[in-house]
Amino acid sequence: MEEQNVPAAAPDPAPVPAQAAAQPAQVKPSRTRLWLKAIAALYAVSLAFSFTVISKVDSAMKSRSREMDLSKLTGLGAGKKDAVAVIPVFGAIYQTDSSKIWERGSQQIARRIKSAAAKKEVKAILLDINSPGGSVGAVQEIYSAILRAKAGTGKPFVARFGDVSASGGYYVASACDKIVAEPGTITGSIGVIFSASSFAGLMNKVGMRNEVIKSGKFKDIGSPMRDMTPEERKLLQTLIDDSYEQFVAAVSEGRRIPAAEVKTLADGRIYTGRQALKNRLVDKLGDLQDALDLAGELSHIGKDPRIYRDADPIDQFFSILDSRLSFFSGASLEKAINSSPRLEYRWYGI
Amino acid sequence: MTLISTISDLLDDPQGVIGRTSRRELGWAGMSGYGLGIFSLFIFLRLFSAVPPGAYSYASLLLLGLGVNFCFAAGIHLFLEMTGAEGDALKLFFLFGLTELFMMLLIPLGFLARLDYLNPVADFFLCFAVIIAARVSIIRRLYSISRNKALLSAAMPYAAVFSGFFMLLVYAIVYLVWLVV
Repeated sequence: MEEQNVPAAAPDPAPVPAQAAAQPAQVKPSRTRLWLKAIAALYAVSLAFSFTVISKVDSAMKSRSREMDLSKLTGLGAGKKDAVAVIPVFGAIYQTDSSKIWERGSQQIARRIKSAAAKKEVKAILLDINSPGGSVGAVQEIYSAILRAKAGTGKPFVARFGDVSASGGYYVASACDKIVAEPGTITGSIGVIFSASSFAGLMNKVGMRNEVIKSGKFKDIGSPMRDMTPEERKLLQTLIDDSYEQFVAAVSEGRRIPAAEVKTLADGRIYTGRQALKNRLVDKLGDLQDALDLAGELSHIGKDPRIYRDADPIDQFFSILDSRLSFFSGASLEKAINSSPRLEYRWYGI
Repeated sequence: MTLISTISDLLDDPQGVIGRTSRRELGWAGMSGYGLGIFSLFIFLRLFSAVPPGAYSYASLLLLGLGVNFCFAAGIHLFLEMTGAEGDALKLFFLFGLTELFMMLLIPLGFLARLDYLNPVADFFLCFAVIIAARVSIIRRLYSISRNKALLSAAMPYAAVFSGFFMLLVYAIVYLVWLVV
């Protein structure tokens, strides 16, 4: 029935499609436009809000930037406010290949001391020491860099001890004006050590022999291929004694304690921070903040001074690579270098 | 013809509008789209203090946006012409401007990101995805090509830029290592 009625109900089919086509064409755009206008209005409102938020963020940023220590982020020290430079002396102190800037050897520490002392905004230098010492030459290089910087600029130096600052670590600190240690810090171990292994027994056992042709009898002193002779032992003892005298003289001069008194303390024993304070080997017990406050007071910039960190971004980049990935085999190289016998201001407790 | 009426017509009858609207009309709408879209991006970045304030900062961002889109439109047009599809490069550039209007989404999303409900980088990539989808739709209609081909042509310049950037980065690191070691 319906199928038959459909054509009958539409006697004039032509206008109907035209109307049907025209109606959506008029309605649809207006609806879309209405929606678009609503979106535009919402956009305008959100823009107005966003301007308010931006002005607040900007004002907060401005007030923060006055107090913000950019040197903590970049190490470049955008502000010229007076500061205390913090130079870390971590790990065993040895000379390294100076062409490889990511290896933290004594040359690099000495360079950083010189560079920090030359900065106008740096009013004092804090050496954050956590080291069991190292080779005599490397330790003395840092020691002389501190003395030179002090003589050249007159800026105060403060040493701060962390876990361990023994032997060469203490030698370096003795050049500073003040020393701050934790009560439980291990320090002292004032003395010199030379150790050489002998594989003579092993070589005899396996039937191996090492032939040496030398210009003098002491040329292969310290060779692991044979036992040490009494003459060599005597000679090495004179070297040890001389280096020991240098150490005692440095401590005596730096700490203003008579050399004879230093020698009573310098039998190689270690001290806690508190024992060291009693023996006048350190000036104060405290943490890094106490050391910073002391450096601020010595340089007349007050307590809680701004920290200046002379961190080279390239150096940091390679340090991270080296430490995280062992990318350049820095640790194995250091072990290989350190295996040869040498005079050391070092404590082997760790 | 106002911007709203152009967008409205484009939403209602995209094929017809792309075909019959003159370059002049599309040009006005497209440039307004660039202006508003990049202004929204600018405001979004300002919300996070990622760009400095001021007209020069906005102008440099606008110029960068126009330059990048001009190159992208040219590259896409060249690729499609070489593969046999016919279209209009200038219209493509202007229509890209209209797709930039989706950047307006960044402002409410930016508020949510400021309130730590969303990640700002995720907001940006969400808008980026919407813009890419809109561009694919436009390229498909303007050049009368399949959706996949339109997607390929729209993604191609971005892929080229990213691969070039990573190549440069790798070479820069290698050069730095060589310089230091």
